[in-house]
Amino acid sequence: MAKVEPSKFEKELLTMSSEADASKAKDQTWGRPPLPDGFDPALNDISFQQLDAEEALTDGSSAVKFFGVTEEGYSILCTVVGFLHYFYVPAPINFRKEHLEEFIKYLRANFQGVHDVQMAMKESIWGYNGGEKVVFLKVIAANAKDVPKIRSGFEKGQVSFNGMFVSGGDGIMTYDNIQYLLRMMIDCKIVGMSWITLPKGTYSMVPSKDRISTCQLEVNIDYRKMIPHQPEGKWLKSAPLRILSFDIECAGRKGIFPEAEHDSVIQIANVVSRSGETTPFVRNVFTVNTCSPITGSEIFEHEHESDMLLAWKNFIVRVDPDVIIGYNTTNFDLPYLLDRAKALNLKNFPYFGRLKYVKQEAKDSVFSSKAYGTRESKVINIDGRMQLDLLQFIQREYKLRSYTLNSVSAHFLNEQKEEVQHSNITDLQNGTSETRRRLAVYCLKDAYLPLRLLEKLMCLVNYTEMARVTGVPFSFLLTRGQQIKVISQLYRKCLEVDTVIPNLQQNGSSDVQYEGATVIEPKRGYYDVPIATLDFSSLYPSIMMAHNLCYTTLLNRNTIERLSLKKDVDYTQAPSGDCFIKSSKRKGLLPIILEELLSARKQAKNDLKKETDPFKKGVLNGRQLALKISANSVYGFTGATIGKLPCLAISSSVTAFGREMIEKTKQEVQDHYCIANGFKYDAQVIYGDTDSVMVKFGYDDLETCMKMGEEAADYVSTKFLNPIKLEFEKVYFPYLLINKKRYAGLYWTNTKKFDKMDTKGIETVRRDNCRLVSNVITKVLELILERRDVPEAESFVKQTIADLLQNRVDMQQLVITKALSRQDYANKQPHVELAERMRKRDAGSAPAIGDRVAYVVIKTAGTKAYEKSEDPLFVLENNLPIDTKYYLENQLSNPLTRIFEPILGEKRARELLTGAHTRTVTVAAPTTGGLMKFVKRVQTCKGCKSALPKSNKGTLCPNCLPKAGQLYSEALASLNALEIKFSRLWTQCQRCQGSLHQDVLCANKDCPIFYMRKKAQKDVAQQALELEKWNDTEW
Amino acid sequence: MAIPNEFQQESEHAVVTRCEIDSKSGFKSHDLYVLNERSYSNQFAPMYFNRLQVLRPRVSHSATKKWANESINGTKVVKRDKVLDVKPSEPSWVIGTVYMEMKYKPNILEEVSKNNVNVDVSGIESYVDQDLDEIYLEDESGRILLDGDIFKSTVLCTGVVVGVLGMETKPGCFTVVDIVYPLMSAQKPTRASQGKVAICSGLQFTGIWDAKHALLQDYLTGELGHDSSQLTRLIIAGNSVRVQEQDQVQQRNKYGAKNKSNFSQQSISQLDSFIHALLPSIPVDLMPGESDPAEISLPQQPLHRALFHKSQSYLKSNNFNTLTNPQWFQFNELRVLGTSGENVNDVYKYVVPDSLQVSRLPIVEASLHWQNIVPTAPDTLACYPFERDPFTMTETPHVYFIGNQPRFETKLLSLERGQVRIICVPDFNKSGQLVVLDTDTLDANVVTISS
Repeated sequence: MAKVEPSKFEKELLTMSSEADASKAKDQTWGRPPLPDGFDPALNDISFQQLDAEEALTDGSSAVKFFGVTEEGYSILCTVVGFLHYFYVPAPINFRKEHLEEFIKYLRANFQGVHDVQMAMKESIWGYNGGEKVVFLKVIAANAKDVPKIRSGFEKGQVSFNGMFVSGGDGIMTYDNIQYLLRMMIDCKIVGMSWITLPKGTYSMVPSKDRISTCQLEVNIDYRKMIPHQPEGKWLKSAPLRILSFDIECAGRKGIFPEAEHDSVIQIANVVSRSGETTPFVRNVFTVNTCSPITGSEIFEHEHESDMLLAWKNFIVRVDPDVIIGYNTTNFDLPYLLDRAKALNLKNFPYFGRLKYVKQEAKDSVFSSKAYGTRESKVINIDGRMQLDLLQFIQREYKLRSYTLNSVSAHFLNEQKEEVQHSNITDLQNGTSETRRRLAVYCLKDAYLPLRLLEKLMCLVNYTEMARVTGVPFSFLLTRGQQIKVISQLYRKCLEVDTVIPNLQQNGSSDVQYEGATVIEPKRGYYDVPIATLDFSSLYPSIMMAHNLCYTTLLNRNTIERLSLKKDVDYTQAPSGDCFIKSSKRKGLLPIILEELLSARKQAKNDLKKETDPFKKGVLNGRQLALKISANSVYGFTGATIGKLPCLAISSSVTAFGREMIEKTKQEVQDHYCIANGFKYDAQVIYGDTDSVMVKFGYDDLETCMKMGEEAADYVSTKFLNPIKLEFEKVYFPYLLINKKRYAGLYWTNTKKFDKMDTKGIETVRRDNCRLVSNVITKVLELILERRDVPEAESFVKQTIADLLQNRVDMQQLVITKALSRQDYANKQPHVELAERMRKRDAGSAPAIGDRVAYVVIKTAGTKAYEKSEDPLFVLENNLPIDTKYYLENQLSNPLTRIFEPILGEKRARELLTGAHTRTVTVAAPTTGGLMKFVKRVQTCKGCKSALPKSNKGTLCPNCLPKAGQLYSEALASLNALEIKFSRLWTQCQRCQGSLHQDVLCANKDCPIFYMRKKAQKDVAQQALELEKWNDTEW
Repeated sequence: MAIPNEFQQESEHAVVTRCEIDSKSGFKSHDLYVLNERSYSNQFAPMYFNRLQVLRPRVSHSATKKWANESINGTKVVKRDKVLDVKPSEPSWVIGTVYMEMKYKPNILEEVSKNNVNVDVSGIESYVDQDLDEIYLEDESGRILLDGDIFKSTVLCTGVVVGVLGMETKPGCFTVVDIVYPLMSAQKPTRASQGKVAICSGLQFTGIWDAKHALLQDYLTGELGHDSSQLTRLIIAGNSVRVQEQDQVQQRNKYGAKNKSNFSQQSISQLDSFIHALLPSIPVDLMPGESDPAEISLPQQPLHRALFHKSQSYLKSNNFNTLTNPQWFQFNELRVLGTSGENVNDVYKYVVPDSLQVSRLPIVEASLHWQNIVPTAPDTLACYPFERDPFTMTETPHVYFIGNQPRFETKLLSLERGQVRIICVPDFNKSGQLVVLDTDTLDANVVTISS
């Protein structure tokens, strides 16, 4: 055995080390720059970017610990004291100032932790009542932990003070329920990832003997003394964050996924970089046993696993990363390390956070969100260090076919990577220092890729901006849902206008439905003239702004009558019936928030245009994206029935206005652009959905169509309230409208060249289809739309179907993947059943919960769909027959019919799927099992397939002999095609693994040639045998 | 320096006699390249591994001889056993297999990712991109990037085993100042043989009658009036037939498999008739080439005898042989190695096009230095996955000819342990030329057939 070095990756490592230092990789320094001698808190301001915040308790009072980094790169722990948690209750009508003192006494006597009660003039966010503020009691507690009990005392009617506070025995509504950390950040106007200045003389340094953290600076400050900065101007910058990416390798036992109780950790690869710098300044691998050197990287060899783990822990503390990233580190690497340390009884190991005395532990958490679905995950407290698991990030932000590191890097970085199977890792570890080096290179690459992904996807920048825009701490973005972001903004706004938010009991009735967006019935067909698309920009936010839709503007009948408000003068009635006060009376909070978000976005986009520095450009782009997403999530927040503050009156009004506007747009366009008004054609709205309408003006040149599109957009915009604006964005030409939410077309924004082919709802990206479908559909659309060659598209489809039925389609294309989730499925599902069967065959390699299961559909005795799924490798090994009919009828048929029907008509479209090309069918004969035991093999004539008598010489019957040359040449041609394929595929894998001298081990099932390679190997051997049969044939 | 013993006997196992001796020319052919029991469960790594194992001691021998007392910048050079043992700034030499990373090498992964299937890559004329291509030296331990001006004037390609002298100037990058090749394998001591052998290639019968072929037939049968009785054999080195584009399309079933077939009944019949007409006058040895209806991957197996209705009766008599490509021949004691040319044509794609002008001799010479006739298999030439590498020379021939070359070239190449006559046989269809080799003097002359 020898070792491998992916040539490309090695080259990168080379470049890095030559940039860092000419020849020696040993010079990598870990520590932070040291604090200047004699640092005096009385003479120095400290400004730092706070990264992570957590609640703490100092002297019985709640406090917030901010971890951060200064511009110079010093790490800091800043404990902010003095801020006390609170909530509001409405003061009973007969409650007077005189009652206050006694009430405080009463509360203190009955509830633990009551610090103070104050009276304040506030208003509830819910509903418009003429803008009157009423008296609220602000109940303040020293320790935030005591708040819930006091609150529930009010809510459950346990508070009875002179007969006040009890309404029907049910208790009363409390207001402002938000966690202490956010409360403090909101009240102090601190947003996530922002900068804070501690002026000299206002803060105190913690004496070194009392320090609880490993930070270079540890200070205390009163919350009234610090100066928080809004993220604008010079405070947009980012501190030099240290980002650690790591990956571990475990030596598992054959066939069993590594378990921390038994299987040791053998290598940990680490890459550390500073944000904004391109080259990581630390690259190393901690190994058990010896390991040959890797260019540009340090190797730390250890005799025992426990030595290595402790050395790694010391490394983390020394290199002191602000951000820890990796791929699936949250659910695998970190918990595994912690469990492993426990199994080895390494008591000192789980202390690599910034708090010296806080042990790292992995806890289970279930995260459930309408937007992201339900996901189980671990939570590891590494106090003071941000964690960003790239797997989680990508799962949240992107919809992909597969989320393995392989396919993700193939998708984003355009790089295939070698994958070593679990069972091979142990063999490599038990080999020589060179096989361990092979493993180390692989491990190092897995540590480096997340860092590259982080850069490429701008995760840190975009999330930083999201934290700043929405005001939540960075860590909330990965661990919490959408709602908290809106809540944070809402509370911030409410604070400014003395508004409080009721603590609604969640009654979880998610079945309440309201009518959604409208769809104009599509006029299906293939359009060979330009179709202009008019879009409402930010439709829902602008509706909310235009009609002043908000909690604070919502009216009920009583209020309208009480204040004798007039419809259309004082208030607006939505088409759905709900009424909202006009902004002339009172501007809603949501519209204000939205306006700020959208104008900030406009600003960011303007700045983006002017900016030249690529890093700042990235920041600004991240910012405008964050602003857009935030604006759009406000509508969703009001409609989230299992939410903090659902208000269907708002959300259903929004959609009702939206529906009305689409209809109106259609009407206006069709009424204006018609022959009667002197135009050449009657314009026709052929389709419309949610926020866009598709218009056929009738003209067949792009230029006219674009001009008219722009005119029409301006014209219709005038019919709507500000800031609702219809925009002309693009032209589709040609355009294939298949159905609601299903269309395809060439997308033009200029008259010279189309921008792209745009498809919606067509099986090009859907993940539950096999690749064949998306490949065929993509090609067909290309032929129809780009080349405008329908006959060619037809014959391509026919050829593909023939290939499929004759088993010539590469199996990789037939693989279907589905995620295995924990829920018990009501019906038996193919992938679930297969996972079960695979577990019985080999528990180790079987897919686990959360994995995506890859399968192909095969012919079996059973007819049920779930019985027909099989592991592609198993199919290859046993030569099981693919159920090609299934692929034709259940996968290809519908999407193809949908595309071709509008073009060819029903009859000819059907012929595509049933014509002459479907008559020849080839089925693989399984090598094992079932009836094969009883089958007698007989030689058949290669020409006519009739059985040959034993006496027949050669491989043909006498009748076919005249065709011998042709038949032989076909067998030969097919062998040649396979030989070339075999050679090219295996050679390719050798190139990719970066070594000629050792066998390819890669088990990357996401690689497009993984199964192809196996199949070519099998097929070429088979075909070589076929050709051999011709050796004795004479003709 | 004496040749160590271990290299003296190495050719013993390599070549096995198959045929009876043809009395006139003392002809034998050898079946080194015939595949019998096949197994495709191997990958390609064993071939490279074996190649390095066989050649490493021979390179080491050359290197020790050349560099034993060498020093760079006043420092004596040392030998490093493994590529990764190379130390920064230490003058040293090390042995390994060359791997060339090249931009225009066909990449099936890319094709598949882009949903282009069954791409025909045979038309690529060069893999070279002078700015981006990289040369690596690799052994079991890993690889190291090579640079140095020497590569501008050296013919190299993937799969060649060499020793390099230089030092690691940047991390992972070894600057080379000198290169050595394996010690040449021994030649058979005598090469006694009398007579003349005609070698042609690229006949490219298409089924359409052509005057050139008739004249060639006349020449070979002695009807052109000169003394052709000295011609003892004809070797046809590949590309004897060509399939016309329009024949390519004919398919049994419109929606059947679309594999490129090199078979055309007319072409092959014409070749058969041609050979049949020659056989009474001159024995014929037929090697397959890339355009012939034979297996494409190397070593190419003999054309099926049933393709030759008329000539096949001669097969038994050793007057007509269908052979492999490459192929070893023997004329009495003269040992001849020949190929149909794709080995050299593929190496040509690794070389900066202008650097050689049109001459292919430097590549042919290089492959004798490399002691490997098909180094680029399996990297860029399809090849059977051998356990051992049959293309590494364990015997050096007296004559080495290569078919289907752009023009006739020949040279008597002197190597440290003997001389080799190398011959580039031109494409007959284009040039109208064939080569006559005098097996006694090793003179090679071109004969031009023209009407």
